[in-house]
Amino acid sequence: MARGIALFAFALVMWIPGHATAQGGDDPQVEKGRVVVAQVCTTCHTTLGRMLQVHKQTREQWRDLVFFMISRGAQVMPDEIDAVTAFLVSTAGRDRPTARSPGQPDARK
Amino acid sequence: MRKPSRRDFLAAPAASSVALGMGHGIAEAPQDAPGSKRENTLAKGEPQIYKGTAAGAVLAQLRAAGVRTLFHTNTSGFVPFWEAIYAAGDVQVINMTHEGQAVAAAAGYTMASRNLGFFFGSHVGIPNSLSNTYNAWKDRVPLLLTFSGGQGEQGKDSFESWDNILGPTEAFTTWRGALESEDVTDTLRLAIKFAFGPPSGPVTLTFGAGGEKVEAPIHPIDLATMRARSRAPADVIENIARWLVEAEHPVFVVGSQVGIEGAQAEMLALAEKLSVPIAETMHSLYANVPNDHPLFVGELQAQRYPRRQDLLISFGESFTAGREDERGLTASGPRRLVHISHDPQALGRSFAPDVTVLSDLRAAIRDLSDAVDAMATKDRLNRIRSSRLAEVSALTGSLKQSREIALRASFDSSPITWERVGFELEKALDKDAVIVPELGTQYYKIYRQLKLGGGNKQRIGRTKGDALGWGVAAAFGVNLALPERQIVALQGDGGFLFNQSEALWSIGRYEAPMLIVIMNNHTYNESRARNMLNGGTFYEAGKDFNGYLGDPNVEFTKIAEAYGLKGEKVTRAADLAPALQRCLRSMRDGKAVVLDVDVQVDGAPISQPTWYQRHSIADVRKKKLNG
Repeated sequence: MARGIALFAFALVMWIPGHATAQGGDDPQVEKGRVVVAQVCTTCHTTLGRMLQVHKQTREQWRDLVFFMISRGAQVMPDEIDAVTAFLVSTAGRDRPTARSPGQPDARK
Repeated sequence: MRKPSRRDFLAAPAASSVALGMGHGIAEAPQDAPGSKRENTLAKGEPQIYKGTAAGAVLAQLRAAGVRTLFHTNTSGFVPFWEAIYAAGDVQVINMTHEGQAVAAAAGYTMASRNLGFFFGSHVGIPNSLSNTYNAWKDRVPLLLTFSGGQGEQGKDSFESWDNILGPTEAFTTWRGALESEDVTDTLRLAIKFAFGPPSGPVTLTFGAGGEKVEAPIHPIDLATMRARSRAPADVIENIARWLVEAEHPVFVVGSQVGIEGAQAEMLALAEKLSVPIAETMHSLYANVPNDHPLFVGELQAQRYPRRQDLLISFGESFTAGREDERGLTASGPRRLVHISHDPQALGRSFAPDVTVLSDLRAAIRDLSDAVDAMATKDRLNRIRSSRLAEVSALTGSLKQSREIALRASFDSSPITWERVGFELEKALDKDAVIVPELGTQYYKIYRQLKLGGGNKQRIGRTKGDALGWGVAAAFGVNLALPERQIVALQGDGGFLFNQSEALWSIGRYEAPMLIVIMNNHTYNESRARNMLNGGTFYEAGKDFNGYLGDPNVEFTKIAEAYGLKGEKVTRAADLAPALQRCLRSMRDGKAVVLDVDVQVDGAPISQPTWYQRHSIADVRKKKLNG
């Protein structure tokens, strides 16, 4: 079971580069972010590829999420924050937010 | 459930370092007032003969073990025990209004005091007690949980009875037995022995001992020596020491047993000797190492340094958190794995180490440290230490900077960030405050802002069992054990709604001047975030059937006030610090506070965040009712 998880994470890391390169082009910031994400995020998020397909967010939302994950323990260094954000935007970005957090006021029910 | 045989009776004291012998009688007369030193006058290893009721013998043996605090939930059927308690005069009974909350309070008390948690209540409350008995079992907390009644004939579905009355507790206990008038104190000593193990954990007993006259041996018991001891063979230690000295990228994982043995200082000294980075698992029960130490690198599964570890030594961590622990153990590829534990049942249970070592943690750490000293010159140790310290310190220093950036990014936001709550708590609380959390994985955002472990604040929990409905009562138990400290329950709003308002009754009655912070995001966010992580049709539609809690929007401050406690509510970040100062003043003056903080939700956003599946019985109703 443990070996299976490790192999799955390895396969996921291998998937990320091609996907990112396709959307991020040769942007060195995106490339740097791809490497960091492969090292940092996939240790816990073994379904990261699926998550990035599902959750499209604005640059601001992705940046907030990077901060949120740093606070939770993700080992992203100060000079990597922009790069990780750039990679996430390049891979799963959108221009406008269409979703809000349940913590925000909302009259609709 | 089995009654102990005479052979058990003879074996148990020997195993628990309590010797048998002849003694003199203990009168059943009222005992000394609270504060008396009389309980310490029993000669070690010399039993005395108690003459009185069987229930009184139970209390006498508990007192001879230093137990003075008993947890109880309403029932009839304990009259002889009450008589004995009244006669003793130095025993405090803590009434709780629900068996499950009583068990959580007993567990918190035991985890903080290293004493023995003792509960007595009705057998019909066994089902109520189960979720927190399970939590205590997961946390390996020594408890005696005793239940009166339920001794109806088997197979007859008798009044308030079922077959095999302790059967429901079987999965969560280290032993089960019957406190009857015959051999009552022998059974009790066996129960205490099983509670401390290893493995330690809850023991359940039927409490049939009543007003029958008995002559029972009472043995002095030193609870600090009840856990059976162990020590690793020297050649095994030497082999591990060699691996440690030769390793280029070792890592230590420090677990709960280090905290249970109080071996934190020795643990840190060994890590510092070779500048070995120290990680913990996601479900670490205590703050076993100072989290502001340059060698502390956080959770094992999140490790980025070193990328290729060549040696992992676990000191008293059981790795029972499932997938997260497995990832931590496999993420850095092949390496040598060493598992040191004082609990034989934890060794190699959830993974296959290269070496398993059954040993007390303090002994293993000292032996390993001595072996390292004997194996390498001081110069060599200094070289290893200084070069590795530079690397690890650079990493932990950078991570600290990143956390500071993350903290400041939304510092003034409302709803308030979890990081800001941690930041303000760190500023406001005493250095020796104790944090008792029951939060989802967002708790790290608070932990990272608090200085925990070592000479800093202490943390007890979250329970490794994760069965919600534990935190407030557990924190109350901690406060009973540590009345000189500020005790802070960090509680999710969802978790609080798992039967926890009952604990406020005891907090009010016993004037526990603690702080209960409700991290209120109006959501079961842990499950919401996980449910939404990988999308799906209900996510795309914005229909979260499980998560939203804001309708009705619970006024936690009013719940507090209903129990005579103080309530504070904060919705803006700028108001948090002044509110905390008001809370501290109330605590200083002896009154607990429920502080309801409006905090952010995190994780994947959803298009209809406050949607839930509506159903109105009032609308469905067709019949016109009177009134």
